Amino acid sequence: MVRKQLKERVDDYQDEILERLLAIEVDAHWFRRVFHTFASCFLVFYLLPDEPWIDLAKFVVPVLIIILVGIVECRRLGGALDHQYFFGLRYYEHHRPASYFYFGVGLVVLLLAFPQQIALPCILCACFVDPAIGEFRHRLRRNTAYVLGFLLSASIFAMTWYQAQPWVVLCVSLIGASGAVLGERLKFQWLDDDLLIQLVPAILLFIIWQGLSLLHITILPPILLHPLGGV
Amino acid sequence: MNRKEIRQAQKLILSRRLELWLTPLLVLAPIIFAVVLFVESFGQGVLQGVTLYDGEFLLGGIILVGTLLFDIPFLRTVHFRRRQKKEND
Repeated sequence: MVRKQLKERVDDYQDEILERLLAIEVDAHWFRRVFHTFASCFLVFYLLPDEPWIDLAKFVVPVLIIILVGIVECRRLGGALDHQYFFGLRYYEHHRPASYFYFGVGLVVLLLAFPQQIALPCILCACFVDPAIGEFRHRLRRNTAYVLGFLLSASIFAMTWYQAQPWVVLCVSLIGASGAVLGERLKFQWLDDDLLIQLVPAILLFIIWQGLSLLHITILPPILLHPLGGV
Repeated sequence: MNRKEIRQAQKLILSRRLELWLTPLLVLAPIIFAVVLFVESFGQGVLQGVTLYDGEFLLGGIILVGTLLFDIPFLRTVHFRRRQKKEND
């Protein structure tokens, strides 16, 4: 008798907790914005110590994550996974890979293939400038939003290259910010702006860096993030 | 539907609420990362007088400010529907 009463009380308690959890509403619009800012913590990649096995893990783990996410996306697009499992998906993402997949691919390419000085501001642009432009577009005119986005990107490039020579800081800020805004502005059916906002400025800066290196002009400043445990 | 089926349905809906499980991670992870950068900058930079670590401080600041600017409106939008209360009223 006591056991039965206790079970009923536990059941009621469980129902109440479930009811409360189901009653929580999350705004998809802001959820997408916060997903962008969350990606900034992947810069922890640069804090990992330079040990041979960690260097191997630095390559293998991000690639495995992207392959895993790619498989999930294939299953979703193939219909094996319901779209309802993916909160905040836009309608057009029902028929093509979702933005987070493009974001991840861009992030991994930058982390593995570009020097930190170039990759870091490009990743920060994707994390903060992309959602900021989205918010500006909601509240202001379209062109004003892109101008503000350009200024924000230029500030990020200037701050992360502050150790370089002044003319380099100026050029990199202008070129990087132009690339970031161009990446955000370009719209393709199969290429997401989350990928382009990272890769367009990175490729532009990479070309300039390599071009000037041929002329024996070094523009890269010292790295900003050092492995944990001291240099 | 009987009571057992209703609870199973509730659990199924809850398992699909990915955003609910991810919210603490999305909000806290960048803040923790920014704090790690500040600690590293203070420990290696300020205490040992190495100016190389100014970058960690700068980056920690950018990440913390940028994250909070988006986290605060996001957390404001997360609200609880007072369904039971309304029903009772």
